[in-house]
Parts: sequence; C-alpha cells; structure tokens
Amino acid sequence: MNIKNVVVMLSVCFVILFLGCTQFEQKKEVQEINVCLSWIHEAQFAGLYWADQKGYYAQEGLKVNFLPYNDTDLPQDLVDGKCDFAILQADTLLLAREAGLPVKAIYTDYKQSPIGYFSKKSSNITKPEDLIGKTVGADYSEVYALIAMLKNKGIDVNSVKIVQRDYTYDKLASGEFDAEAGWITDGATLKAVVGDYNTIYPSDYNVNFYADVISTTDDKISKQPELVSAFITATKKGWQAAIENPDEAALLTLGYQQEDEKATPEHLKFVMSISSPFIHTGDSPLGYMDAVAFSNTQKILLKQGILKNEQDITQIFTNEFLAETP
Amino acid sequence: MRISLKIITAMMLVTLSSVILISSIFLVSGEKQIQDRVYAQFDSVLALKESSIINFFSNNEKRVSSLSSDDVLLSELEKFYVEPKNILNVREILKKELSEESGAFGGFFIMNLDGNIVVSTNPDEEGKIRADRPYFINGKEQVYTQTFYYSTYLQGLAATTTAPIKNSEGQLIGVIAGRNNLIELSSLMTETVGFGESGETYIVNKFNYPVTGLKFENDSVLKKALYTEGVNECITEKHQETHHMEYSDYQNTLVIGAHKWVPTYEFCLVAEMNKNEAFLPINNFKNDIVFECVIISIITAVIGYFVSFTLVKPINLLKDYADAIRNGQLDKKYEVNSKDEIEDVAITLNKMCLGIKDRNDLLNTILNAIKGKFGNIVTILLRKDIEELAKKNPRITSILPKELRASLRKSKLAKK
Repeated sequence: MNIKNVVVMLSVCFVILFLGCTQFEQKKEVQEINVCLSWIHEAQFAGLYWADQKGYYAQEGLKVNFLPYNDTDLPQDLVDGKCDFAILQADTLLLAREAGLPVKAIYTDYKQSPIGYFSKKSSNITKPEDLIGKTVGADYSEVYALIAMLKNKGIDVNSVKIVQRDYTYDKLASGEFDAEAGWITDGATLKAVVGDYNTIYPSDYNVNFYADVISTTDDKISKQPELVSAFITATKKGWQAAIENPDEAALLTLGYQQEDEKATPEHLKFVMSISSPFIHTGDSPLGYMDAVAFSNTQKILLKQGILKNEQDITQIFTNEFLAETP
Repeated sequence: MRISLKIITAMMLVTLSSVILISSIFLVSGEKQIQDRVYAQFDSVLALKESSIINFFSNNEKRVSSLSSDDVLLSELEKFYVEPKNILNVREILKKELSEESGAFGGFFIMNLDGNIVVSTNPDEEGKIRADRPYFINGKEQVYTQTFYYSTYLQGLAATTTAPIKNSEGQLIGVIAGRNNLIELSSLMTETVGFGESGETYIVNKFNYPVTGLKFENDSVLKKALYTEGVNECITEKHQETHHMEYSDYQNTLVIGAHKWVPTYEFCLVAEMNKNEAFLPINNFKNDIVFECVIISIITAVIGYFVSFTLVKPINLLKDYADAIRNGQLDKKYEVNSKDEIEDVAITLNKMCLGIKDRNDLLNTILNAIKGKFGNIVTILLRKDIEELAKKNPRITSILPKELRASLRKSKLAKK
C-alpha cells in the first residue's frame, strides 16, 4: 500500500467521522418552550436570563422564549399550553389549585417574601401598630400578607384602611397613602418618587409567602419529566451564577427590555443586590421549597376566606427536580 | 566508538544512574514525609479549630442556658408579663449580661410563647415575630443553636442560640435567644499559621456554601457554591475523622486538602494548601538534583577523559609501533611504562621486532650471496615464487644453490 492510498483512506475516514459528528449534533433536537413571567422584564429574573444568555438552556437542548406579564391568568395559560412554565405567586398557585387547575410549583425564586410596606421616613411608621388609623395602598397578595401581619400582631384589621394601589407610588408621595405595599425591588423607584423611606417586612411578623414560584402542569411533570428536569437544572445553574456575579447578571436584563422600557444599570443592580438574600437564604438549596411555608400561606388564605377549601400541600409543589447539583 | 568515548560514557552512566537512583529514593521518601507532615498539620489545625468552634458554641449555649434560669431575670420577666412597664428592668439585665459577655454575643432577646420578641437589647427588634424560626421552635424544648443562616433583619450571616425559660413551677414562659458574634468565629478561621501563603481554613454549610470568608474570593459568604471534590465528599460522606485528599479547589488550583464533618452543628471544616507550595522543598530538591547531575556529568567527563587518556596513550604508542614494523622500521625500540599488560605487549613486540630483524638480516645475507653467483636469475626468483618456477621448469632446481634446493625439498615434503 503506497502513501497515496493511505492518505486517501484517512481522508475518507475523516470525512465519515465529521459527517457522523454533524449528524449526532443534528440529532440533539432543540425544544422551544415558552416561559411566562410574573412581571415585565426585570432583574428579578436574572437567573433565568443568565441561563439563557450563557447557553445553559441550549446545553439542555432548550430554546426559551420569555413572555413578559400581560395581565392574563397565568395558571390558565399553563393549562391551555400557552406557557410551558409560568412564574406564579404562592397564593395564586393555591387558588388555582382550588379552582381545579392542575398546576404545581417546581422551584421558588424567592424563599423570603419580597413584599414590604413602605412609608415616608418622616411619617415614622416602622411597625404594624403604626398603621392603625392609616391608609395603606396594596394589591392581591400584598393585601393578604398585610391582613395576616395585622392579625398576628393582634391589630383590628378594620383599624387600617386598605385601598387599591396603582404601582406608581405617586399617592404615597402625595400623602394620599400613609403606606404603600410593593416589592423590595422597587427601592430605586421609591427613592426617586418618595425620597427616604421606612419598610415593614411581613416576614418579620411570621408572614412569609414564597414568591416567583416556577410552576408547570401535572401533565407536563408526568409526561415530560426530562423537559422539566432540563429546564430546572439550567435555571438553578443560572441562579447560582447570577448570585455569584450579581452586577453582571442584573445587566443581562437590558437584553430583553424594549427600548422604551430600558431600566438604568443602577436600578437593575439594586434589584439584584437586594433580592439575593431573599432568593438565597443559606439555610436550604436554591429553589428548594418547604411544606411548612406553603402550609402557613394556606392557613393565612383560609383564615381570610380567600381560600375556601384546604388543599393537599403535597400536591402543591415538588422538589424532585432539584436533586441534581449545578 | 572510540575507547575514550566508551570509557567516558560508561563512567557517566554509572555515576548518573547512581545519583538518580539515590535521589529518587530520597524524593519519594521526602514527598511522603512532607505529605505526612502537612496532613499531620491539617489534622492538628482542624482538631484545634473544631474544638474552638464547638467550645465557642457550647460556651454560648451554657451562657444562654444559665441566663434562662437566672433568678433575677426570671423574677423581673414575670413582673414584666404582669406589668409591661417593667420591660426596662428586663432589658437592663440583658444589656448588663451582654456587656459582661466580652463580645461572645451581638445581642439578646426574649420571645413569648407566640414567638413575639417582647424584650431585646435592641429595642427596634421588639414586636417582631419569630414563631416560624427553627431557633424558636427548637428553643422551646431545649438549648439549641441554629447555625449559619442569612438574617434579613441583620442583613447578614447569623447563628442564634436559644433556651427555654421556665418559671419556678417548671412552666414554659418564653424563649431566650442570644445572637452569636460570628466575627470572633471568622477571625478564628482566618488564622492559618504554618500553612504558607496559600493555606486557608473555612467552614462550609451542608448546602455547599461557605459561611466564613474565603481567602481568595471576596464576598463569598453564602454566595459562592463550592462543589469541589473535597467539599462534596465532606458533605456526602460526612467523615467525622479528618479525611485527606488532593483536588482542585474553588480557584481550580491543585491543592492538598483535609476536611472534617462536625455533626453537632452540621457543617464541614475544610483546610487547603496549594500543592506546589506544600511541596516546595521537594521541588527545590528536584532542581538541586538536576543541577547536581549537570555538575557531576561535567566532572565525570573530565575524569573520564584523563582516565581514558592514560589508557589510550600506550595503546596509541603500540599502534604507532605496529605501523613502524609494517613499514620495516625494525630498529626502533618503544618504551612503554604503563606497568600493565600493555607494557608486556610492548616488550613482546620489541622482542618480535628483534627476531624479525635477525631473520631479515639472514635472508639479506643469503640474497646477497645468491645475487653474487646468479645475477639476473635472482631477480627473477625474487619476482616469482620459487615453487612456481620449479613446477614449470623442474630442471632449474639443479642450478639452484644448495640452501634453496633444501628449502624447496622441505616444502614439497610438507605438502605431501
């Protein structure tokens, strides 16, 4: 066999090997999924953005479309298949379950409730007792948490005037509201609109709702566990990296925001830095959920009559997709 | 290959292989000794730190437990439950205790049976509810320490020790809590005497997060997840005896490390040292060996050259002698003073030369005699072989001198 023949044979082997590898790559099918967010594009989803932009989802064979909140019924969207995964609040999840929608939590972004009740520094409102006789703007779960907090402190709920808020903090600034509920992530906006402010955390008064809970349907969990596992594995990895690199993670949000809704880098960094301790508490793995927390939320909703029937907590959430470490 | 090169090569091979063999033995045993020494150091440091940490928490538990049964505090607390304005007295007792604890605690507070903080050394904390906190739930039953969690109130790492407060009738009336001062613990962990520049010790909680600072990574407490081989093994295997291994650390640097699981407080103690730094003496020794080998090679080559020169010089003389003999120079006498076999060969060659010379002289005498009697025939005889001539022309033998005829006859007889 002369050298020419050897070269020809090696070339043929190389081409076959190359084509084989290409075929193999092509066989790894990319699955496109929709993730419905609980809010507009914001740094509170930085872990997911990191997983997307750093290729963690792609490594798991996923192409993720993030759909910002559009005032729709997210649990229903999950059931209707408009979203493969949706980010819900703990109370929404419990109510959806009661309504017969087969949705389940598979990962929680915020383990500590990011809800706070803000007031002007000058008003000297620092504890629930200070809200007596005052007007507080709140919406949905903020109302449930407020009532629960007041009750835990033995305060007559009727002694506090709770009204619908409009998310601008203008009424707090103008003095129409003495206090207004919101997420701790609104700090930069608050500072700009209201100035220096005090915060009452419901979690300081034994009221803690999981927030931004990644959920999907029972059907998807049973029929496509690999897909759920792939999504959660990449998401958890993304969150871990985001916590280790908060500034860089926060700025990834800009890649998703429309031109007219671009936030300032300072705002995004603030959101990430203030959120980190609420997302990663150090006393359990990232995303891990505890039955006691869901049970406490359920008790609060039952007491307030928001929830009519007690739900089986074991059907509300599962940690089975958190087993793998990043 | 020349004899001198062979001698030099052989000498270098023997010398270098001996050096390498001996050095290798030293290296292997040295490496083992250093590893054993570092591991022994790890063992003692981890044991010391474990004992210090356990002492830190157990002493604090004793202090909180003792405070929970302090008669003065109990008396004032019971008065406070009846008359809230007595809160000042209770707070003063807690503050006094705090000042006497010389930095072991960051604050004290008392929770009622609903988990409400009713008195605290920090009045801002009063009124908050901790009913869902593990330190309250467990503290109602026994002395308990919740180690290493993030406190949103403190906005940082916390560890809280609690104990049940019971009245004189043994009824539970509250839970007292002390916030452990973790600065003391962190400074304890940062002491790494004898670990060189790269050595460090740190604590990792059961979820792979450092709870004390990392030497080479800022702002890592409860943020950077550590999934190194060492930390993973510590958390999964939970070795209660110090376990040693080599692995890549959180900087992806090869380290020799040790870890130990502390079951009481559920954390992992880790000690690590850069392998290159730990084995620096051995690496230096390796460099020394390379240097020594170069020096030894040069010295061996020089010595080899002189040795070979001594051996080769008489051999070269003999060679010259043989060349001279080949060229017919039989008068020379060669002096070889090597006092060995080569000198014997030279003496024998001298004798051989004398013998050849004598025979040559005889032949020349005969030849001259023949030359005188037979003139040109001798020339012919010299040119051709006598035997050949005699074979072709047997009659010529009759005209040959008597000596030659006798020689020819002897030759014929010998052939027969």
